[in-house]
Amino acid sequence: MKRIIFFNDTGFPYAALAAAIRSGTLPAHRPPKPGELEQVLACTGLGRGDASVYNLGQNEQDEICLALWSRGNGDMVRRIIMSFLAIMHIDNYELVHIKCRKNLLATVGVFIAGIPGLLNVGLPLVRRHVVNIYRELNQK
Amino acid sequence: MKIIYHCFGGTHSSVTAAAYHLGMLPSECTLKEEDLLAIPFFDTRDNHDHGNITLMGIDGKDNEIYIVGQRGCPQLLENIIHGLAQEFDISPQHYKLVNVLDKVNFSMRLGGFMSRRFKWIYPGRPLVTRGTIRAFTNIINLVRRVKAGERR
Repeated sequence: MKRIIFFNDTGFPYAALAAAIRSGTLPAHRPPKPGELEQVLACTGLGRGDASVYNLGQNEQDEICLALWSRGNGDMVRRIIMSFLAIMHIDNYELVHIKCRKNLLATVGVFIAGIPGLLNVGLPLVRRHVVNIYRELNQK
Repeated sequence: MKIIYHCFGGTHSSVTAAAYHLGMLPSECTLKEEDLLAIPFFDTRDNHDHGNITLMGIDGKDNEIYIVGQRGCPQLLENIIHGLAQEFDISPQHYKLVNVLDKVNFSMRLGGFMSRRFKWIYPGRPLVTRGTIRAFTNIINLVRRVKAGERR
């Protein structure tokens, strides 16, 4: 079964969102509703960027959509993924680098959402940013 | 089993550990600078090699010995590899990650930084080589533990 590995190195889970869109967890034809976005972000977290691998489900073509993201070191992350899978003789995968940049809205949203009790203030800011870049994420 | 030694740049401590594992180096009391400089990849890999898991050789028990640099982010490397292994159904018994970074001393850090980052081969290389000789006992103790774990 083919795996699609989405990754980015901006410290924001763009890769998780792109993987969720590809797997059908998030809608492809319209921006996500607050509840839908929260559901995905509840599974993956918002700003950790420790390169943990998340499984965002399987799409209609039976492709498993994986996501990971880091803070910086995108070139090294790409080489680790490719060389590890190469030494394990695995080639049935596709690697997708998400190149969206984090803006002030996302940074502030993530910061506020991280403060205990202010999740409901931060998440709308994050959602606003996600809606702005949703078309770009959907094309990946 | 694939044994992956990792350190900051994947060119000094991990290479030394892998070389000792493969029997390319003598025991601690007789190690000389020339021995280290003769090891493949020693003080040669750069920034664009970080993350590239490279085969160093195959030991007597058919274990493949690899080296890789992780820019001081061992957790990042471990998360990616363990996560991918889980998703691709690779058994943890098929690979082992060994962090050599905590065996590195100040002389190795400074010399390695000079030699690799700034390309000041002199004085960087002699400094990192001498530092490696001083850290060699710690490195080989780690390798012995890895080999002992293999035997179990």
